[in-house]
Amino acid sequence: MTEKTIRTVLLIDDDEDDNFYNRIIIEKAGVAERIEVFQYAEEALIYLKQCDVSDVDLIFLDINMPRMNGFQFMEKYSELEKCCQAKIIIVMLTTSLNPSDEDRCKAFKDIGEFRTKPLTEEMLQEVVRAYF
Amino acid sequence: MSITGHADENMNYLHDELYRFVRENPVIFDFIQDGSLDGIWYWDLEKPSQEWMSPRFWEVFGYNPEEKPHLAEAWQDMINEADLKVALDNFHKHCEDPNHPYDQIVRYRHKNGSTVWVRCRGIAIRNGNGMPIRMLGAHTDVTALKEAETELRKKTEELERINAELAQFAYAASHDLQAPLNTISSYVGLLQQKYAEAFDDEGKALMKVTVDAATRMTSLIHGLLEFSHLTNDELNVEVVDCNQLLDETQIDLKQAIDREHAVISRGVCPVIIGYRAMLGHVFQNLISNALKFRRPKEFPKIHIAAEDEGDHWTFSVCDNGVGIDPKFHKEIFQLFKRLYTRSEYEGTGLGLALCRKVVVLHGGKIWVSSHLGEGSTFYFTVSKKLKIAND
Repeated sequence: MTEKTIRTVLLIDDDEDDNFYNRIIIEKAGVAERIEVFQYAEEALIYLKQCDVSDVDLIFLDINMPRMNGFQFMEKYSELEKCCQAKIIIVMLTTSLNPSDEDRCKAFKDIGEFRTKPLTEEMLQEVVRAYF
Repeated sequence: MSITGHADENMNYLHDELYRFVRENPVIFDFIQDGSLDGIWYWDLEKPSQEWMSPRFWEVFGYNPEEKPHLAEAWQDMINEADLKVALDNFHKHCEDPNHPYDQIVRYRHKNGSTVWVRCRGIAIRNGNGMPIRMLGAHTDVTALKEAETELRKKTEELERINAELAQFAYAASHDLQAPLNTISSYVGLLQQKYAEAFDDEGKALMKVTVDAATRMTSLIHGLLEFSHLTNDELNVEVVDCNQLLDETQIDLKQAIDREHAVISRGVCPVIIGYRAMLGHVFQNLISNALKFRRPKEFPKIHIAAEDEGDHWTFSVCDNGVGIDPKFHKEIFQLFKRLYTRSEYEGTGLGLALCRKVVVLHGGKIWVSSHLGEGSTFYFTVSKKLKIAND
């Protein structure tokens, strides 16, 4: 595979270490051209809004984040213009404090998958096979 | 015949009229007892076998009034035995002393087997010599109330049990998590000590993240242990001199205070009744926050004060730090709620939740007044109703 299948992937997670780790996994798999990291969901929203035509193919979203959590992000996200949205969103359930988090995710039609941390190369390849 | 009761002296023409109607027209009396009571009874103390019961009296217990004779024995096997004893005891006392009320809640067995709770009040009617010759009684059906009460008590007991279980679980879980974590910490430490030189820069970076995460988890687990262990079960309230407590807190925080070049001023603080160590936690958390969330180019200025508000004390910790957007003023007191990423400000998200728990144990409230960029003032109250137990 010479051409990378995913153009831009967003990592939205307040945890620096998790972003660092996820970046290593994605880079190692060599499936994405670009990785953009946001520690605040609000900033990711601003980023998405600024795109004329989004080249964001994949978003990994954390749930438990300061100020704007994953669910609050999804509410704002669904109001975005279609062209600003990503191809697919994966919610990374954190070391879930609340088992109902997964149920809450199901209410958002834009959420394609729910997975638990940590991200693995296998998980990434599964997503690529299923959506790209 | 006379009734020893309240004399009606507070006269009003409608009152007089109504009382006259009651005397003249039985319909009025029927309406009153039907509309406000669940049965009345009228007992002949000179011929104790004779007792008249109103139709409603029987209907409440599921019987057709026409099937029931006007005899005292007619209800004897329906009433709860223990309750009957209480009623009879009150009856004897009331006969001797009109000021002793004949008023109790008794259980009757409904025709369908269920229990009917009845508030039974009565008044003795006496002859010229003050001898009781009749007894007039009124029933009020309080079954719904009693059942709700029982239900509520059951629910409360259940809640208390679940709560205790949860606290126990949180404590046990955080305790058990600590063991494998200690192993991780010590082994990674060994790895670092022995092989750090063999790692390249990326390897060292990965090692550092691991060590830091293990350290963070240790403090998180310590925080959780502290939080779940924070109940008033094992502690006693004591006399707490808040000036002294704050002196100690400031000594504990000396390193951070010096590092941040903070200036802390204090009003005179009261001597109160409370849980000393817990209040220390609150002060420590609030002052630590004021030191941590400082503005980059301004040294922290912190003022601590207390106000006597009658039935409670209001404490305040005021800083010139980064401030808090009002839309987050409520959620910052929730467990694990944080407003900043860890890369900006260290923390577990437990501090203010812990403060809130302590303040609630002191019968108080905690809140913040702040705007982004304008410093924050945290307030909390401590009730003056806490009492030192006499051992």
